[in-house]
Amino acid sequence: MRYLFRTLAELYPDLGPHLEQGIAVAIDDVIYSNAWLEPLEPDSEAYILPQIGGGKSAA
Amino acid sequence: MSAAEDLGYQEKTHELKWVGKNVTRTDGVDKVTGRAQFGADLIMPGMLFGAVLRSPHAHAKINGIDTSKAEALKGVKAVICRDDFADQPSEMIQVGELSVNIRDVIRNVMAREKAMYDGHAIAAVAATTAAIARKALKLIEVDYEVLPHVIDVEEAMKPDAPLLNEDMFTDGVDPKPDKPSNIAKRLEIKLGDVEAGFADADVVIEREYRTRPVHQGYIEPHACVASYTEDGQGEVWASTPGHFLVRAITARLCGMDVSKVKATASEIGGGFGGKNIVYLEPLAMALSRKCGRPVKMAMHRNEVFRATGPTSGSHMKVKIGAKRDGKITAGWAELMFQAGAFPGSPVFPAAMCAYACYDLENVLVIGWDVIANRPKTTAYRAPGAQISAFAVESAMDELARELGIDPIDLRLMNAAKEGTKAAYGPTFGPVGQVESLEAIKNHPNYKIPLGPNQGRGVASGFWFNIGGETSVTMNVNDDGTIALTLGNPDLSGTRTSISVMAAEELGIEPDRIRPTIGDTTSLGFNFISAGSRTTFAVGKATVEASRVVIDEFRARAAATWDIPVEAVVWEDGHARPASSNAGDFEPLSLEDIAREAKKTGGPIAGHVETNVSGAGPSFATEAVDIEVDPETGHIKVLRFTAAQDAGKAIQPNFVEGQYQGAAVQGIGWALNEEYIYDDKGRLENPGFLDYRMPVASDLPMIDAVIVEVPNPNHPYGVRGIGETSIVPVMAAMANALEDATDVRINELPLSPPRVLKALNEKNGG
Repeated sequence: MRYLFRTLAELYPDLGPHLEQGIAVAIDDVIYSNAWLEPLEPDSEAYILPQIGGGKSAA
Repeated sequence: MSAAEDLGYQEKTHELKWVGKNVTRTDGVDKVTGRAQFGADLIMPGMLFGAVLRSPHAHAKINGIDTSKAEALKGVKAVICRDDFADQPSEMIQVGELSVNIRDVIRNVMAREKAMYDGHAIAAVAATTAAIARKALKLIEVDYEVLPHVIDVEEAMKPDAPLLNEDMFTDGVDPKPDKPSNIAKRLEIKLGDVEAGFADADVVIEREYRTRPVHQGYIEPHACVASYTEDGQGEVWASTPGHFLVRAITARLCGMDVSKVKATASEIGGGFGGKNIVYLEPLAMALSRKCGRPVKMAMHRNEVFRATGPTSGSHMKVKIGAKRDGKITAGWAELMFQAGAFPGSPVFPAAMCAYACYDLENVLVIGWDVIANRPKTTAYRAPGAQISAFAVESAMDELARELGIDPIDLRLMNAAKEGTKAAYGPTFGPVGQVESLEAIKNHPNYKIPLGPNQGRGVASGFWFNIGGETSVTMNVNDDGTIALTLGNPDLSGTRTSISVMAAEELGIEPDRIRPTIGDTTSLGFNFISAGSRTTFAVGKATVEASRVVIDEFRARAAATWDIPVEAVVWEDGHARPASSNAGDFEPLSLEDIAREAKKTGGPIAGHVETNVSGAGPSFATEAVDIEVDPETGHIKVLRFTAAQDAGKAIQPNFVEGQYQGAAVQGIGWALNEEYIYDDKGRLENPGFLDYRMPVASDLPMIDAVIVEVPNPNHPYGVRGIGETSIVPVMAAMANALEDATDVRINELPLSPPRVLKALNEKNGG
């Protein structure tokens, strides 16, 4: 993912600050809070999302 | 492979001893006996009492602040205002579920150029008594230049609206505007071709909706104690869901190194997202630094209402198209959310969640983030999702009526399921939307006949849930008991649920484990208790820590028996030879291994520092029966049924309590809660007598149905369960109102005057 981020930032410079700021990534059906070190398979689906949180600590 | 390496869900081949059973709550005795220490309970030698001067104006330029008379009052030890804090650059930092601009945070904690809302902090005092502190506030002279204000989101979006921030140009529009406005951002969630979808529709429902801002309504007001000492060290004790967040922002705003601020979380009397930000802690630290004594600060209820929370008010437009058979062809929405005085409403998650319950090919949701002269919004239980769900799920109900299809059947026909591509991007793994719908459809409450003026409403909801940064330490004591140190404040019994998972792993009784919320010096960083992450993420990290400890137990047993570690297994709290080939040894209990630890390598501990991923999204469906008094417009809730996918309920009674609490908050939001401002933008109902939240006598028993579709990314299948059940409530209530009266109201709250007016209009009155 780190390589993908670097490449995206090179291709789309306006995206760079958003990627640096912290985003979530959904790789296939799993959402990663910090995905830099996650491997990407050739047929993986990766979606870049804003960080998601919530208003309730709870369970 | 080490046992700690695979933390995915594995269906258990044996009966679980503790997980899924109800055990005694770890913090129960302290809570019911009054021993639990909340934010305002700490007393320190020499402690002073702080108080905050708040703006009486909704919008005013601050030309000057004269604190000299207050400083001269006997008993006053320190007075601070904007001059005591260095300004901050415009820089986004992550705070809970929302990124916030630290430049805005410093301005929200203490007004600088302008007072932005009624109740905005202007100055603060520390004195030997609370009475002296309050008296000193009256001696502070502020030179205000009152400016035009705007409260309502629709008014704030108009080109001629009073401008809150002359430097704010709408982000996300092309071309970039050449004039500033109150619209901070435009965003878009898009899937497929929504125009083609509507062209393919036989039926289109198009409506507008409005919701009011509501407060989270936690019982315990914000409170803290801060102490700054001559060597530049600071400590802060606070009622917070995230003391690492308190440390970070207090250090940043006070110009201190992070290592010089030690933060400790007290017990917390509710937060629901409203405490995912700081208000008092930097003020208390700055006061303490100025006078060299500890300072306690605690808000009164009217300060909580005037200066903290709430969630957004909104104006929304929704359009849904479907074929005659019920297949939805397109979903569109435009969401305009009020962010309060600074940008950052939950409109993004609202947009992402709007159609997440459904398997749709064509979706377009446009969001607008709008500032107004109200307190900066903070998170509230599934922030934003409940608001967009009110609109979408109300429209879904009208669509079901138009098509003559049962509202649950319409939702089942279009339900999100494993393999559904959500409009916000990801493809869902195993999820429980179908199961939550079927749980309601098959519940006895859904079949009870209704009488005159009675109606039944149904709605569904979605929330993502999150993981995040987590640190856990498990120390094995020499008597075989466990000291478990967690970094997430416990708002809902999470200490107990997490201990139960550790007990299940270790094979010991839960009361052999003492869970403690460690301060910021005792653990690595922990993200706040938010996003329904705690039982999922901290539980997962604790399972991992348990397995690290178990691996060490096996290694110690192997060394004792002089056999390879691979030949030792951990079963039911004991190390045993894996087979007769490994040797004939008496099993070693956890106590045996702990007692001999000093001879076999020293103390045994497991600690995990990780960024937990793989949170499982959660769906809920709810049904409510109401009765409407046609003479007063009063709505009585007859019965309420909440079904939500928990993944796995570690403590079923805790889970039920979360579903019930969320339902109650949603009922209050639906029926009564709203802020009332006068024509000068001053809040007129800052207290529970006039801001009407539900009490026990307003409510039936809430029936909670726990659906369990395991999350494949947690060893016990846990999802988060704290938020989703509030999401469907307001729409379900509005849907029930139409079922009872044939009157559709698209604006909250459904208060007696509004309902009566609508009934009278229907009857030609």
